[in-house]
Formats: sequence, structure tokens, C-alpha cells
Amino acid sequence: MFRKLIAGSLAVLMLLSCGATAFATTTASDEHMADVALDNPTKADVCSYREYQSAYADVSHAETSIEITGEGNGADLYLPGDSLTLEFTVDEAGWYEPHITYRALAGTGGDILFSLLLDGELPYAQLSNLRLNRLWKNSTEEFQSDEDGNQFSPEQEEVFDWQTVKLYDSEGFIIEPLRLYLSEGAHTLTILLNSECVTIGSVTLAQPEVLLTYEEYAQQHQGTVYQGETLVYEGERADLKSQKMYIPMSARNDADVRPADPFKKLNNYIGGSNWNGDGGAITWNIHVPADGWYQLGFHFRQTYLQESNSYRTLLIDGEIPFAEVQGVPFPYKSGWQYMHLDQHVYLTEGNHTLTLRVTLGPLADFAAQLQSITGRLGVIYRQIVKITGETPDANRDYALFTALPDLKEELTDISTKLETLALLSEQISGAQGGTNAATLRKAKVIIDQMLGKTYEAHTKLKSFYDNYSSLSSWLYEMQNMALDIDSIFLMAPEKDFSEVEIGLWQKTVFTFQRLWASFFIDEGMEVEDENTIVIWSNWGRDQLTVLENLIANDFTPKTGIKVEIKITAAGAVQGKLSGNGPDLEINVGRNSPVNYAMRGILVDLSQFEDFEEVTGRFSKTALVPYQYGDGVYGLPNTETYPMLFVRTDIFEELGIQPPKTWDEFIDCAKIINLNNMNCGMPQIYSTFMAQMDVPLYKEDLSATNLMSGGAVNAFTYWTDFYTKYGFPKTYDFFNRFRTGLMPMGIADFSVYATIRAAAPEINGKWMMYELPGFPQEDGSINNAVTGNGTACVILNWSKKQDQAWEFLKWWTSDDIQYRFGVNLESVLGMSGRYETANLNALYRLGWEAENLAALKSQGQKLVQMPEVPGGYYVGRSVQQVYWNVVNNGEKVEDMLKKWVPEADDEIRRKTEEYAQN
Amino acid sequence: MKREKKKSLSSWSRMDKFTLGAMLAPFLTAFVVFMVVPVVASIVLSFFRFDMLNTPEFIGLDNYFRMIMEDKVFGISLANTLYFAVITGPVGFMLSFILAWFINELGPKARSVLSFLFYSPALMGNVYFIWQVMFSGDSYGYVNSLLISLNVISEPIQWFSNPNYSMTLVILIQLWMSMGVSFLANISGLQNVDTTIYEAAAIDGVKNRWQELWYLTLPSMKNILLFSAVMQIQASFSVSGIATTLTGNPSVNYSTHTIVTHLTDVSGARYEMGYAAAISVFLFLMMALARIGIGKLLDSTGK
Repeated sequence: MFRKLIAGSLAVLMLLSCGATAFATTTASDEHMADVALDNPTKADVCSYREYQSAYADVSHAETSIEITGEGNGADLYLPGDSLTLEFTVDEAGWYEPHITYRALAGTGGDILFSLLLDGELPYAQLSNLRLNRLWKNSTEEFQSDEDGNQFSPEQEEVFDWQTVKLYDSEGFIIEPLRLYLSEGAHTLTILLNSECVTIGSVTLAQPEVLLTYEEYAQQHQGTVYQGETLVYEGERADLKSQKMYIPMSARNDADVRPADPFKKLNNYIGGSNWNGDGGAITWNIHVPADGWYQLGFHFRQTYLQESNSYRTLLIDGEIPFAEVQGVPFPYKSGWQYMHLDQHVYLTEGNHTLTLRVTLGPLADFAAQLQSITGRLGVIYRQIVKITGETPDANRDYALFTALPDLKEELTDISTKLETLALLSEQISGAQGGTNAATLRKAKVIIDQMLGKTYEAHTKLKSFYDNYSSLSSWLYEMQNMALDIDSIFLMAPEKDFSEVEIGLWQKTVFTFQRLWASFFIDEGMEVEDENTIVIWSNWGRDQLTVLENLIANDFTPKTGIKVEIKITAAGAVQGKLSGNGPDLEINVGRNSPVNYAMRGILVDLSQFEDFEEVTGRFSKTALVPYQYGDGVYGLPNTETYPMLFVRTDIFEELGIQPPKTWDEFIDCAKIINLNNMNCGMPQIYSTFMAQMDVPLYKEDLSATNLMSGGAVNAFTYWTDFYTKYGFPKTYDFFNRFRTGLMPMGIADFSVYATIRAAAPEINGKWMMYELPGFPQEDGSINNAVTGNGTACVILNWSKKQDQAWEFLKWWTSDDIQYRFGVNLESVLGMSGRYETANLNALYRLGWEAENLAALKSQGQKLVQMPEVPGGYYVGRSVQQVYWNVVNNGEKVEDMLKKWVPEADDEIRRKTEEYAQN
Repeated sequence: MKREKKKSLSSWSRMDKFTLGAMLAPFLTAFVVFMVVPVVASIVLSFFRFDMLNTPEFIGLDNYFRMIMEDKVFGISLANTLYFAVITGPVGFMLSFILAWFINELGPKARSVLSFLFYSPALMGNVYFIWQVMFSGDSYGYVNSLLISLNVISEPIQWFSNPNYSMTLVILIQLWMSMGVSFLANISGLQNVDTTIYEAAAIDGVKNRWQELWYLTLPSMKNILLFSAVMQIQASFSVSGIATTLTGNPSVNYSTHTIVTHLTDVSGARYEMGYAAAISVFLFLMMALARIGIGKLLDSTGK
């Protein structure tokens, strides 16, 4: 009841504030355009667009447009927080549709995010997170190919053109353009940049456009019907894309995907699992030979969403021609399929553009409602867990409905809503009792059971949670609007696809040719000659394909050196034994360079003249782990270090601040534990040692320093988290963080990309901070961090060491590392983020500003530990100590004394064994 | 063609000998290259220090001295292996035989379904990963979460990182995995026993199933038993992959460190191939001895 009341009164307040905002008059400032420092209001205080709409439901659309132009060529916004305020006067009150003319400025390649404020305030929540996309095209007109005719996927190049766009809800829950109610009089409109950089040209407050129905459209265009040849536009030849990851791709096993070749890899479609949301648009330039009515056809593949459609908005020359194509459904089927658009389009002779833009179509409203329900379920779950813990005692009565007085009403309301949604879901999919509706009804059943037996409600907590998480993940999956487009056809109405379809016989022949090719064409084999360097790597195929593309596009043309990459799990040792070793190895483990170097099979990279220039690309201590004796035997490839991840929404609920010191960290952990949640602490003993200024090894690297008093302190401090404060020893950080059961945890910064990519439902509810540290006497905080990473090495039997060094210099350079990271993300999506050791490249890879600041600052404090011969034993001894301490309650000091000599022995033995080398 | 009687080798003509040689050649080559040479090579190598990169250096019996006198971890791994073999070997062997014996009594349909079920873990290779999920140390691991909800425990147990549990679990999982092969062999052995001897024996005065089993069934499938016993020993002596995957390398307090784990560790992480060869020679001798012992034991059936 209480919650309901609060919610109700909040809603009323919001409506009032919305109204007040809109009707408020502003004081005119002297400057026409002013850069004002504004705080971005948080969404929580503001009403939603639907509420805003209903507040002004009786107001009519504006009859005129207002154009507001800035000075000169527009205003450049560079940094988050930069803003542009425009003043204007409204003669006639009503609904207006803001259109923005802008041009992207070179940034990190991500979407431009901004807020739009009216009279300095946020009219409704959706305006706090608006998106302007960039434009990308293939960097080369024709697809490049290797010697065998296999095509590379072209790199993407940004196009800095002016665009005029309407504003859409960036979550995609509202499919029509967003509108503003403007009262008569003077107003200001502020564009407040949240990320990336942009030039704003002008803003038009246009008269809201009402889409024509197809009937009206048909009446407007009385013309002839096209009778000529079928026009084919290849999907992979798309001219403009809104994301760099929409790259031409290759489907090799399908004869009907044009162009198809059983023996060569040809680019033949576009889209893929990356073209799945964020209003992603792909545009084709088309040329039409004659005025007339055309039939639109698609050859596409939608194997991503069972029981549902992938929706696209069709735009011709940037406009939606009629309402029916606002959400064109692309149904599910395994394999490629042909489809006609039910309606025909009228095109005049000449050039046009045709755009497909991701939309949730009829699912938008459904998804919005489901999101609000899962949000509420999440809150309820956390409230219950606060009382009962994650695993309630079945025999105890927690009196949940007394402790949470509003629980009953809230659950009843959700139960009703779930049934409504189930019906709606059946309506959309057109089938009774699909799995989607069943998912919703299952959740309803559990909630009804909790309501039915209030004294046993806590026994259902586990099922409640399972249903909540399956609804959440379904909500996420259903918004995944992935689609592959092979070709688009403009054809005479009445025609079918028989002339473009491929016969069964041809398909069969193709299949046999593919089978044949798989035996006899050795993909990726190249002829070795004296100008080819050979690289071995145990990286994934995707990474190496991207690297091969880069080499073919950049390295070989520039230097004339050819590169052959072999994917192998074998290391240099096997290479040496077989007498067939590589010139280079990339992405080898942290301890390999020293291990190889002591056995004398690596080239000392510091002997190269320009070595010093290269080292500046990495963090200060990045080379330390690859030093052996006086030499440096590896260049860093990747480098990672842990950061502190915090669920800001839960911290707000609990009234605590992200910790800066370990004492604060422990205080937070206590509060979190009290509320039956927990915190994550990985095995970062070396970070604690670094923060306490205790080196891991003795100065001459002859033994570990783990038995010193300082090390015992650091170790005890670390294991206390498990023994004293009850931190879990084994946990899945990502899942617990996502559900809020672990609102604070330390994890590698690569988790950032995983959460961003795979847990969009908690966007804006979490942050990545620097690690806590220990206060120093001078008032500063020592929060040093140790990291991990991989390296590249040159083998000393190579006869092409200079070429290999040339390659390493190219490979570790800022531009190439950045391009590799970007290209990799265009293949794997954001979760494929490449943790390059090249700092300039890393920081450009697209991070939210505040998180990036934390990442950079923590990176400054990175202390890499040296590697020593036999050093692999240190980790083992530490493991032994750790488990004995946390499981069996042994004393840290005793255990260190018991296990560390084992590591020291190994180090001594290996050092002696290889001393002569 | 006329059926010929077996001839002794000496009476064969030259041509026949040549044919015989030619027929055997493919197998013999493979056998020598892939079996004999590696065994001999590792015996030779065990007297050298060799890190795969530098030239081997002859060091006599040093590797063996080190193994027996110095290497504490080797001692632990030997004890673990023996403990492991003593339990999984006989238990696995008997279990698989008893199961086969029971299932053999069933109708053909039930028999093939059950055979498949029991054999499937062996078929599916790395399927033991599911145990990792079930016995995860997370409080949401299946077993932990069940035990917590039944109020048996309050803190999650680190099944594979706690020496009190890890060995027992690995043994159970190994039993579950390795039973398939010898079980299948036993079933086929049971089906090949000539049924007429049971009638004959009944006339001769065999009174119950136990006597049948001991005096008839077991002796008549001695070869199969030997095969399945050898499989079982080989499996239990060379267990390592499962233990390493589940409990990590090294396991806490070396609780599941076996000889093969040690061998892989010495050769893979430390590149001490000579020492690893010495360990493998030791293991080889141990297996051979066990094989002889088993042969003797099986000879006693029916007596």
C-alpha cells in the first residue's frame, strides 16, 4: 500500500512539475548562444514520455515550424558537459517535433549521446539519453582480395556529412519521433552533450508529421506500374551505415546468397547479430530507371528470433513513405528466404536512397511494459532478500507481508499486468499459448502462490527469482532484432522470385563443390619465401582473421613484407623441436617470455635501435615482466588490471558511497552483508603487496619475498576478507552483479565490456571506480594495482629478425592497435573488446567518460611484477596457502612458511640450471 | 579352396614368408614407430637432462635418485596413485562385473538401453564437467545450494579445493567414467559363455547361481576379465586429466596429485623431459607388475 501511495503521489508530482516546466517563462540572456555548465538531471525525478503526453493530451499539433539556426557553421561540442543553448519564441502553443541538423566530429567512433533540455529542465525522461548516429562507409569502393581471390571484409571509414534527424527514444520503446509541448512565448532549448563530439548546425521545431496510410499514399501517387527488368541491390554493397560494425560478411555454404562461390570467400551479405538494435540503420543508394509503382522484395535470413519477427522501418529518401512500413516484419525461418513487401512503393526516375532501420515495431510497447514489470520485480526481490537472505529458512515465518506493507498490492498489480501481457503476447505472435506467453504465465503462477499463502511466501523466493531472471533475459533477447540482408529487389508488381531463385540442382552441385573444396583447398596456406614472416598464435580465429585483414590492408602494402599466420596451440618449444618454428609468436602468456629467454631461444628486443621509441607506447612498468638479465624479450600485447565495480543504484538505496580506502570498503561490505547481499574479492594478493610497498621478489630476484613480515601482513589483510568478513570464495561475478546480489566487487576491467554488452538492463545503474587503497602519511591514498597480460616475442632462430621487428613495431603502434580493437568489435560486438597494452589505443576504444577517467587514473598506478625463472611456482604456493587459510583456518604465517620454500626451491633450481646461458 | 592345416613357420615356403611379412608390415611399422620407439626412447631419455631446447646431457641415474630421494611431491603422488588404484581398480572392476551380470539377466531391450546408459559417460568424453557444475564452490552450485536449503550446511563447501572432499569426489567421478568400457566388455563376455555347459554342470551337481558363477561363468570368460581388469588398472593408474580439471594443478595440499599429474607437470610446465621420462618408466614398471599380479589372481578363479 505504502509503495503504491508513494508511486501515485510521485506521479502526480511529476505531472505537476512537467506542467510547471513547460509553462515557465524564461529570463532572456544577452547572448544568443551560451555555453552554460548544467548538471544533467537524473531520470528518476522526471516523468516518462507517456505521462508527459497524457498531461497535454488535449493540446493540438502545431500548424507552423520554428527554425532556430546557430551562428556560423554551427557550434562544436567536444566534451561531456559541453552544451549549446538556443533561444526562440513560440507564437502558437502546441506540439512540436524537434529535428536536429548535425555533423559528427572525429571521436572514438561511438554514438553521440546527449540530453535535450527545455528552459533548462528536462521535460521527460527519454530526453536525457538521446542518440545521434555517425555515418560509416567501406573504406574501399571494391572489395580487396588475397592471392587466391578470397575477399577481405573492408575496413570502415567515417563519413562526416551533415544529417538532419528526428529524435527517437534510444531504448526503442517509443517508435514515433519524440515531441515537445511548447507554450506561447520565449523559450530556450539546450543540447547537453553526454559523450563523443559533434557540431550542431540548427534545430527545427517542426510541425508533427502524421504518417499517411497506404490508401492515402496510393491516392497521392497516381502513376503507371513498372514493367521492366528486376533491379537487384546487393546487401553487402550498402553505402552508409550508422555503426562501424555493420560490415559486409560472407556466407559460404549457401548457393543462393549472391555472389556465391564454392571455392572462394566472397562478401555477400550484411547485417548479422550486430545489427540488432540502437536504431541501427543501413542505407543503399538506388537508381530507378522510370517513374512508377515498384514491388519491393528482400532476400534475407532471420534465424535469430524464434516465435517472433525482426522488425525494420523502411525509409525512402530518409522518410517513411506510409505508416504500414514503420515496422516491416521479417519472420523467423532456418535459412535464407525471399519476401515481398505487401505494399508497393512509388518511385520517380533517378537516384534515391533506401534505408532499413532497426525498430521494435509492435513489440515496443510490450517491451516497455515488461521492462517496468521486471524492474519492479527486481526491487521486490531485493526487499525480500534484505529480510530473509538469499536462502530463507523454510520453517520460519518472516511475516513478509507485514514487514513490507505494500508488497501485497504491488504483487497483485503485477500479477494482473502479467496476464494482460500474456494476452498481448499471444496477440502479437498470433498464436495461442506460445512459449513467450507461457513464460509470463509461469511468473504469474508463482506470484499468485505467494499471494495465496502469505505465510509461506518466502519458500517461493527461489522460483520467484528464477522467473524474474528468465523474464529479464527474455526482455533482453526479444529486443535483439538481428537480421541478415543478402539482396533487395525492385521489381514489377505481379512478378515473383522465380527468375532470381536458384534451382535445387544448382544448390546440390554447389554443396558438392563446397565439400570438394573443403578437402582440396587449404584455406590460409601461402607460399613461403624469403620475404614472408611466419607468426604462431593461439588466438581465436576471429582475432586472427581481423589481424590478417589489417596486415593485407596496411602492413604488406607499406613494407612489402608478407605475413603468414598460423593458429596453433603449440608453443615455440614444439616449433624448435620440429625444426619448423615461427619467426614470431604473438599473444603468449605472461611468463612465457622469461621462460623462453632463459632457455636462450628469444631475441633481446632492446638491441634494436629504435626500441626506446616503441616502449613509450605502454604503461611505465609494462616491460618489467618481460625482462630477463639485461635484456627485454617481449613486447606487451594485452594488459589488464582489476577495477572496482559498483552498483550505484543499490548504493543509493543503502545510503553508502563508493569506497576510496580499504577501511571504507570494509564498512560498505558490512552494510551490504547486513542486507543479505555480498561483495566480490578476487585473488589479488599481489595488489595488496604493491599497495603496502612489499615487493613480490627479493631485490636480486633469487627468491620470493613472501615470508617477510610485510608480505605476511599483506596476505593476512587479503585473506581476512574471506575469513573475517565472509566474502564468497567462489562466485560468478557477472551474474551476481547483474542481479544486484553482489553490488560491489573487484574484477578485471574487461568485465566493463561484458556488462555493457550483455546486461543492458542495468545501464546507468553501475560504475567502474579505481580500487580502494591505504591512506598515506601525506594524505594521499596508495591504490597501486598489479596486472596481467600477454606478449609478443621474436624467436632467435629466425632469419628475418629485422622484418619481424618491423612487424612488431607496426603491430604495437597506436593506430594499428586501435584499428584492430575497432575491427574486432565490429566482428564480435562490444563484448569482444580488445584489452590492448597500447594505452592511447585502449582509451580510444569507446568508454563512458567517467569510467574512462577512472580507468586512466588507475592505469597510472599500474605496477607490473617481474617474472623469474621458475616463477610459475609462486602462484601455486600462494594457492596452497590461500586454500589452507580460508578452508582449514590455518594461520597465514605458518602456511607461508610451509609452502613458500617450495617456490623458492624451484626458483633457485631453475636459476642455477640456466645460469650459464 | 582346400582347407589347410596350420603349419609351423619353418615349413613355410619363401614366398609364403614374404607374403606374411608384407601383410604384417603396415602393422609392424606402426607398432614399432608408435609403440616400441617411444618406450625405448623414454627409457634412454630417463638417463639424461633434457629441456627440449638444448642438447641432452647424460647424468646417469640422477633422475631416479631425485625421484626417490628428493622429490617429496613424487612421494605424495605415488601414495595418491596407489590409493586411487586400490580403490577404483578392484571396486570399479567388481562393480562393472556385477552390473554386467545383473543386466545380462534382463531382456534384450532393457539390456541394450541400460548398457547404453552405463556406457554413455565413457562415450561422451569430457562429460565429467557436469560434476564441476554440480559441485561448484559457489553457494549457487547445485549441491551446495541444496545442502544450504536443507540446512545441512550454512557456508558453501569448496568441494574441489578442500582436501577433505576432493579425493573422494575424484574417485567417485573416475569410477563413474571408467566403468563403461569394462562393463561393456563384461556384458559381451557373459553373452559368449557357452550355455550348454550350465546344463552339463547342473547334471554334474551344481546347486546354485553362486557356484555357477564361480565354477563356470568366471573361468569361461577369463580372457575378457583379464581385458577389463587391465583396462581398469590402466585407467586408475593413469588418472590425471579429470583430477586436474576438477581440482586444479596443483590441487590443494597435493591431495589429488597423481603420478601422471606429476609427470605432465614436470614435462609441460618445467620442461624437464629427462626427469619426466624417469617417472614414466617408473609408472610403466608399476603397471606391468600390477598386470602380472592380476593374471595370477584370475588364474585362481574356479579353483
